[in-house]
Amino acid sequence: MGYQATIEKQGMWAIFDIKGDASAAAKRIAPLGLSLPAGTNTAKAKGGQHLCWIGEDHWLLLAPAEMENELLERLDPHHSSIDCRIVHVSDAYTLFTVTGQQADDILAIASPLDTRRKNFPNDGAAYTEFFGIRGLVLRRPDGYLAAVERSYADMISAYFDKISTGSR
Amino acid sequence: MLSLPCPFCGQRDETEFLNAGPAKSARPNTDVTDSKWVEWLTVPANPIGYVEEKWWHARGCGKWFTIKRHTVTHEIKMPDEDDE
Repeated sequence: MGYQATIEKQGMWAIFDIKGDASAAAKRIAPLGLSLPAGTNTAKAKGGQHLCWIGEDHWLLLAPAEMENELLERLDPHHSSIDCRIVHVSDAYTLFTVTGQQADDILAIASPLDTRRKNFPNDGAAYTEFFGIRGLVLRRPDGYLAAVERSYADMISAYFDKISTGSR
Repeated sequence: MLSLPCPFCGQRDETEFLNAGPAKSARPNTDVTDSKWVEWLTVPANPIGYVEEKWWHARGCGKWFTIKRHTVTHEIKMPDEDDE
């Protein structure tokens, strides 16, 4: 059995790991024109950037790869007097998009996350179990974006192939 | 399957967590007897009723927290809630 969903492995994204208290993090990301998400496990999106609140005093910024140099310059990870750690981690993750009419079905197989909109709203972004490993799931208007550690990318691709085509 | 209340993420399935064992009572003083020390170190309480346990949201936000779990019904309560 196949599903009416499209799963695509993405190319590189610009990704930054941000840790610190909220006031410090807000100051560090202010040059990007972004503010912190209001709710836990949600994301604030602007101009292709997604700032995800994924843990206590912990955020993840995702943006298109072509913005990486601009973000490096604006965030200035290594030269700040503000006590907030920003680490450039683009190489650490592989991203997948899951879109289409049955994207929810694919997510339900991949993860135990409750993706009903009252529990995982339109701006939802959370770490969860994803095919048995830790992965970030971000809701988008057309489906989901998932980020997993790059070393697991081939395994996740194989799982996606199996479930989306119904092959055993 | 258990559903556990992560203080940051809310209710999540048990598979996202790792159990880190019983939340122990305070460490005994250094003048404690050997038998009491061994008992504190290695003998977990196993009553029919609530036990306090530490859990780690390893496949989620990474938060450590303590809950009370009933050893028969698996009902979950927060540490400050009454057992009844």
